[in-house]
Amino acid sequence: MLVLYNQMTRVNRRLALAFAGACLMAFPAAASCLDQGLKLEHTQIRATAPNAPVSAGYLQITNNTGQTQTLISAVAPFSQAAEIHDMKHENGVMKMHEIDGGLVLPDGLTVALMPKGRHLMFMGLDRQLKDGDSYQITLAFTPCGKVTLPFSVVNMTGHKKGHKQGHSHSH
Amino acid sequence: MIQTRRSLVFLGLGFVCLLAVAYGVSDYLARQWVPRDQTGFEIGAPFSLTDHTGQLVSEDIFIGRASAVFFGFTHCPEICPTTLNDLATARDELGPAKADLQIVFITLDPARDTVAVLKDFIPYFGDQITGITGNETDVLALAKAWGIYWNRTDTSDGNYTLDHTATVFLLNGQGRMTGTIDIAEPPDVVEAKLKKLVARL
Repeated sequence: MLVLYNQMTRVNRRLALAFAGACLMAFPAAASCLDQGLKLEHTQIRATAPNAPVSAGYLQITNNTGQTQTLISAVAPFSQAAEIHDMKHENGVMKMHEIDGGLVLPDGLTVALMPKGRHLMFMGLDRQLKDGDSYQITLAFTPCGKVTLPFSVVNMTGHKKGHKQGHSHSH
Repeated sequence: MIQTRRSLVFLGLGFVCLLAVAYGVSDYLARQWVPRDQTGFEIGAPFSLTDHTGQLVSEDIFIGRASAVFFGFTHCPEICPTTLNDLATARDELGPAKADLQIVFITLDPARDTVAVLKDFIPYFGDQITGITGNETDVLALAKAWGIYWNRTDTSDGNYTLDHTATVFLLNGQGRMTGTIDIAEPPDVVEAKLKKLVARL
């Protein structure tokens, strides 16, 4: 009886391992944040003037992963470095600073990065970012991991109201 | 005793007379020196700097048409391009009167914002926009004369950005300030302010 029980346990363990392996193969690590319930929408980058050294990225993040996530970094193929910035408007002065430790995304909430507010700052651009282009940008979250997804370059010098900026989307 | 009281009365009367004369003189001078049709406040200081096309530019740029004046820098990812876009977009709503309004961008970062840099940056946001730069001392002295605040913040890539006053100053055709635009104001408020500004020219 006892021997049989031990053997069954061993079999169960092996099955469990095999099942876990299959799960890992079916869901690559890159997709895990999205699978866990992180929603990334309205991914946009500001089109730039020729030779402009910097640009900004925007998106809307909804966290339904069941736990707090933190956006800790962004990597874009066109820039040397990126920072996650917050802005404060005090007495007519616009203050911009890197968010220490990353942008905290509480569970169950939607956080928007948008013009005149929080944004990704891309520094050391190696090219002009033109309206209509699209770039794969990798965002790293803790604890869920990395997500690579397309951001579209949007011309925010548009002369018509409404089509120029990401924050005009309603939800 | 009586003499003391009398001299006190004279002293008092003398003081009242002095006040009356002083009031009269200052009132007269005020009427002489400030023409009645002049509205707005004096702002800034005379300057001799360079525009984004390499031409000399002075405070005369503010005479003859309305201006929306903004201080910023080209290494600014957010507020400077957003403000320039917002102003250019609002100005387009003025229709034919749009020709009466210019946008003036004065750099707070003359070390990096050379004429060559502004030449690429400024025209991107539209026409009738002038970028101003020049010798660091002179540019920053001008910003101080306008009451601009700025403060350098280092970034992780070894560069820096600037926190700065983001107010847009509205000037009439005499180069006098008649109002401001705040970054937080919605587009229809900005448009209404620009409309009023050009309507009074």
